[in-house]
Amino acid sequence: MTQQGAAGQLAMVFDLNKCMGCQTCSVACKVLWTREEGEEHQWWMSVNTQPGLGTPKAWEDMGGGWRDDTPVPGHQPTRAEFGGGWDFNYQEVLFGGRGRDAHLQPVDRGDGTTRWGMNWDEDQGGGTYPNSYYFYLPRLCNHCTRPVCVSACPSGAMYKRHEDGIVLRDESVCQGARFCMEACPYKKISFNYVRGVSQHCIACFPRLEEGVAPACARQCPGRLVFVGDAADPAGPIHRLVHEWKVALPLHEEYGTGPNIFYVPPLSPYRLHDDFSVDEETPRIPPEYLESLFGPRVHAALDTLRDEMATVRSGGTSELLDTLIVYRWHDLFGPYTVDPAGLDRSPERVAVQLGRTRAGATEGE
Amino acid sequence: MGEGDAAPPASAGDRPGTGATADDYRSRWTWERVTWGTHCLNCLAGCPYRVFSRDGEVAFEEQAGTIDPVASGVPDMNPLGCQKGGAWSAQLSSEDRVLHPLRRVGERGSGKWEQITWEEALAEVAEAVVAVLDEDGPEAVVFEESVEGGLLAQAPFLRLAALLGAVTLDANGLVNDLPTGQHLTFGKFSCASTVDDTFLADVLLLWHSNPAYTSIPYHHFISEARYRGAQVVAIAPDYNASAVGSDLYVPVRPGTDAALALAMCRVVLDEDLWDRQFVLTQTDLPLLVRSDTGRYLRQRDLRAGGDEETFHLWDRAGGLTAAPRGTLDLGTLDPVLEGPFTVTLADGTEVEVVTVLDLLRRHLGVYAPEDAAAICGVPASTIRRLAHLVAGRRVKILEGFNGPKYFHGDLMERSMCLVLALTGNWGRPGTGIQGLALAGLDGYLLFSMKTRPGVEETARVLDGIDQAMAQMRKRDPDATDEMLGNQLLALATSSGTAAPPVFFNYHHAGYDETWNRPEWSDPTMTKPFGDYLRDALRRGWWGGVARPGASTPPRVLFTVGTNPMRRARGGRAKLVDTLWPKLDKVVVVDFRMSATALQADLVLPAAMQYERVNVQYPITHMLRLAFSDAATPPRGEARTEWEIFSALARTIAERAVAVGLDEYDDARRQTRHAARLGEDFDLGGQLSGEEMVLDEWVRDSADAGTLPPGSSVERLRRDGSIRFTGLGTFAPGLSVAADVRDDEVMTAFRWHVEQHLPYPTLTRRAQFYIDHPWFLEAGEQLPTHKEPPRMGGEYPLVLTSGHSRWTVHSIGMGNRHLLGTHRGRPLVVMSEEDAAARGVAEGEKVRVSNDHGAFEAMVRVTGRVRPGQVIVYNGFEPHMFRRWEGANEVEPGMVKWLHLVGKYGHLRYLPFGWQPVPADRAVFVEVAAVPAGGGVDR
Amino acid sequence: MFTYSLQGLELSAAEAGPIEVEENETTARSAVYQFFGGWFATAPADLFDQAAEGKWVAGLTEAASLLPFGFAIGPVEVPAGADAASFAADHERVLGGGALLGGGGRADREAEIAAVRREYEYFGLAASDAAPRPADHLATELDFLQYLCFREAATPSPRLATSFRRAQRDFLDAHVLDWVPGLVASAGRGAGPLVGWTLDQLAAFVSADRAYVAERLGG
Repeated sequence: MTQQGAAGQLAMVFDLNKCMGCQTCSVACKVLWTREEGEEHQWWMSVNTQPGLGTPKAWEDMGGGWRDDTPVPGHQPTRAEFGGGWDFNYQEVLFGGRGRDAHLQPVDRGDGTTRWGMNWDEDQGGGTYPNSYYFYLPRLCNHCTRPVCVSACPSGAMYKRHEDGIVLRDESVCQGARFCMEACPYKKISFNYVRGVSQHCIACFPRLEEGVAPACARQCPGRLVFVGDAADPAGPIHRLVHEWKVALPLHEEYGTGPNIFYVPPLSPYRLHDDFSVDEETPRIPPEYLESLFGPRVHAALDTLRDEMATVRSGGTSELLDTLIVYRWHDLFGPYTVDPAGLDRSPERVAVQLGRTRAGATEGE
Repeated sequence: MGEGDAAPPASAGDRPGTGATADDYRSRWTWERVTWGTHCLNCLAGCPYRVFSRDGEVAFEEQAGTIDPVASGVPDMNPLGCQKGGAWSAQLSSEDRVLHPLRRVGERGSGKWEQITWEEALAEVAEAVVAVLDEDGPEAVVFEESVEGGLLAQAPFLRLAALLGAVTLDANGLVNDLPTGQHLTFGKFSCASTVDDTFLADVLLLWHSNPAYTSIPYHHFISEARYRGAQVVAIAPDYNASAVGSDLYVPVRPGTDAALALAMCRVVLDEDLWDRQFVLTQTDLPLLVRSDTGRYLRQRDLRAGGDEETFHLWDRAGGLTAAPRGTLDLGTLDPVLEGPFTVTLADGTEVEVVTVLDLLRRHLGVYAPEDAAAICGVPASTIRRLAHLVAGRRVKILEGFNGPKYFHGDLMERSMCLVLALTGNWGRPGTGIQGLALAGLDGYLLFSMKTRPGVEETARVLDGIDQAMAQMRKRDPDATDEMLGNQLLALATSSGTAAPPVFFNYHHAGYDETWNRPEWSDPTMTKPFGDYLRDALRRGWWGGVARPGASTPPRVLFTVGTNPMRRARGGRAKLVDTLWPKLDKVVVVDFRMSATALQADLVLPAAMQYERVNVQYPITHMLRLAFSDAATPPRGEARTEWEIFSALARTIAERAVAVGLDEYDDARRQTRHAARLGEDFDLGGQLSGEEMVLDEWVRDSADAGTLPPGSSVERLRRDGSIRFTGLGTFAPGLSVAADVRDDEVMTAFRWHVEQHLPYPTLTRRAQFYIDHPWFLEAGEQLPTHKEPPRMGGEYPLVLTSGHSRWTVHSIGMGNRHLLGTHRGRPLVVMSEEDAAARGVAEGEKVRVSNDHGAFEAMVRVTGRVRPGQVIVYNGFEPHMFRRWEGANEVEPGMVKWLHLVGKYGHLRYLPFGWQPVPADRAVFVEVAAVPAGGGVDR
Repeated sequence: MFTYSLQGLELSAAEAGPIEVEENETTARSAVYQFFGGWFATAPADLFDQAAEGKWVAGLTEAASLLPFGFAIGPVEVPAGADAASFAADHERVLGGGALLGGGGRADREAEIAAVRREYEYFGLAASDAAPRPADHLATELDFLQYLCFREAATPSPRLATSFRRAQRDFLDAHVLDWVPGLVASAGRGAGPLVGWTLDQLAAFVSADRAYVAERLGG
């Protein structure tokens, strides 16, 4: 089943005022899609503490993207810069008879991967006590409107899907050149060293095709991920981005036209040196937020604060009612199907795809 | 191509079957079977998941998201869940999983195992148990109670223990999720509203709690409340993850929250912002106290033969009046809240009496905001700001279980409750202090009382309870059903298996040495801890439950889904070096090779969630019964706890008969029929398996009106999770003191406020004045601030702890995906300032030490931690540290002597309730860099 | 005095002898369930003879005499020329082929059997080896309702009486009321007047009884 209707663009809004950094989205993605060999270190969905070096380490300094119509040279992140994917010495410690001489720890493979991971600098943040500041930033492929990765791909493996604008890769065509990894400024493309192909978030398209929201969004306990079509004027995405202008792209200056948007984070009052409340100076330096979300972030936060002041004094706010999400289904636009009700037996799906159960396409 | 890794491998066409096409991905999202599932307890949830299986294996899971909205204008609960539940499918094949019965062949803890059969394993256990029954009696057979694994993991071993007459160490006494201060105030800690009640608050105080880490499934209600107009205040030493989403962060010095709360109370009283009517009707503040003795004025003071538990008010019109015992409704009484007054005692002498409020005002004299600021580090202006914030608004304190883990956590909690008392903030929607209650599954509570399955037996038992309650009500017509229910529970407890572990730990695990160190305890103690303990025992305050006695060393220890090696404060010196050598046999039932399993003689593999049926604990946070089905059979030779313990019961019986021990007497002189253990366990085969047992619980609950009509396992298998329709007629349900309506959030304590129902305390009011002689001696009759004792010694840094977001206790340490979401190894978190002063660099190894012990771990340096504070989040197994010396090496696990008080109204033991508990927060340590080359972490 | 006995179900724990209870509205309900349970368990040949002798109406009228709600009993019209064989054919056509099993042809009969067996078990009954009948046979289920009503009448414990009453409502909802309309509809598709009479009376009774029990339970 393919999506009905005219060409569209899948978009999401993440409300960073609700994100608690639990990584349920990251794990939801991993359990569904990155458990095969060569995928252990891959986190197509990841959540990092900002400010921080994130994943891959110091990705914001790695270049890529567009400047006008010219690709900006970018660094291809190394395995060590992603880190993670650790193996542990369970057998040795628990069953190997070494007693206290061995303890459970990541196995050192000599490739530097034990010194970084997907969420290594979790909850470190910036600032000095008591004015530490940090927030959580969930990141995935932005399924950009101007995907520089598609342009960079030499083999034609990468493409942007017409019906919903998601950016995909036919891994059977991918030659493993990894120009996409250099080109993507968000560094949300990983490499499978066992199979020699690049991989990245597939927008859960098998789910979308059945009307089921992407796993990261649907499994988020924070209820903070809106999913829909960017152009639907009645949908919350359009309203948050274009009408209320409280949802902003990340690093818009990278020039790729990302379709993932963020409601920027408020923060508690900053404190003076004597720890009394400083109502004037924001805790998160505005320039830091601007470096991520651009100059419109200030107006977006003002809008939020004004609306919250309104409701605190007894008024109503359609914006805040939208952000509250009184009914969970309201997050998912057209994607409200419950997967448990679907018949997705391997046999039926194989028939649907014109395949045998074992996976080969019929006639091959 | 830019800099990076080596040249790419040859093209995909040379590697058949490598690259995935879109259709390959479509084919991966397939399944053959969908079942319901849920997971571990400890965030107090019970999240309904759908489990998708294919080819006889679980493929993946996802939250169901099918919970109906409850109240209009309140967000629904969906989807619940978290990353730990979302990765459970991976846990089924984790590398620390135990799939066969194992017997150690080396020293304990050597990690040398041989695989044996179930028959061999059960025979070996039975042999050890029967030998002990014969020689020392069943009190030498000890089970640690646990909270992991759901009810069907608990019920079987509890059942066996009850039949044997063994000892079960109280779970809450072991883990300490026991809000002692809430209990001192309310006589219970069941102010546990449903989590959607949070949405209705106007002020949320995140106090002694880190919900961003520990309340993941329902944290959204906090952010939604904020968007609705609530103000969120995070009070914590460090700028924690929950503070990130708050409006105001209040930096409080560790262990000084009482001073902060009491100063808020001072402002509220001084500025006349308090809710007078609430205070009058709900609290003991109007009650009269003798100025000469510092004790409540009791009826027996006024006349010979007068009641010990009748207290007094001063009525504006009528003067000295007995406070009503059967209701909080004052009727026409108008108590004067300010004394002093003069009364004549039975012997004719006149004494001055004052109200508790008089004493409180006097006591708050040293808690002016400026004074408190010097103690707690929160500026006076902020204290005033907080006081103004809470007065006149709906305030909910989201407390977790951090408070009671401070030595003086009870004082902190009492002070927090006082803030709520003065502002009228419980028993109304959007208010309260979050506690813990398990209620609604009455069928589970009935189970142990039934001699055969079926509804008639249920009726017989319930009719019997009704009759007993009616008899008790005749003796005390003013008692509430909750109080009577507690009395029945106390009776059952005095002949049951549950025992507060404080006595076991003192007598047998070497904690006497620690607890008797005065320098690690409170200076107001006038004698050593051991003297207080012996005093309490001699006075009969723990009659019947101080088991096993000092002269009965334990010989067989069972742990079922609990991990004392990781959890017990006190480190290796206590369990490994002192207790373990006394044990003939250590039997661990678990699905993974935990730290405790590593130290066991026998490890028996348990089935995991998704491999068996189960229900999650019926916690009132959710007010739902969440069902988990068997998607696949248990892996390997794993078995359900029901199978294990029913087989063990039979094996013990056979062994007993073989050695001629058909019967034996326990220490209470009750005869136990060892020969019949097998038939008694499963009622002659009538309890045909765990699914039938669960069905019995569910049907009995439906019969009792706490689950919808027609509820059964069959219904659960279809619908997954169902909302309770009532809290039940037993004490735990009654203690929540609220009705359940299908279109309202459930707010605890409404009966007290709306129906004027008395509290199960000594004074029948929310009690802020504890007039027990020990409390008076300690100066803790009123909530007060006391500095944390220097547990661990004189060291400059304070160690705090808490649950991480990454794992439920140590379970997630076997899950690669979860380990990948953090550093996958133990972590010490400290401030930039303290690290710099010690030459400690981010990511390097540090040694944390004090007079109790030491451990090493990687350090995270951050500006979010308060200078002077060090944090180690719990969950890391000891065998993840060098030499298996984990963080509990530096935690003595001190116990507060005042919690030994018993037979004082509500200060008496009930299972899971009031008892001494181990403290581990605010232990004093030093941190030093480990030189390069030292330690072994790579 | 009223006595009861059950075929196909055994009391698992209590005495097997007859139990006597003073007749009242609840024993009347029990008696009516017994009538219907017996009808669906009786061989068609025997049934026809009883119809011809007017015993259906007489039996039902006597059983229903103390019912606490209105229950009209229509006449049984034996058509001219009808005989045991034609009745048996009609009976087989409408009620044969599994129509009386598993809730009238539920997809998952195994689950239905497990569910009702567990119901019987919980209320103190077990399937009988001596006179076996499928647990999900309509006659067995009607016998179970007979038993529940009788136990309600016989117990001195108000709590237990309420439990049995609640069980009647739940069992009717879960296992009978969704079944009977289907049978009646099939009767409407050309069953003879004898089978039709029984199904109509049954449908009217279970519907009225359910309403009565629900009202007594407060909803």
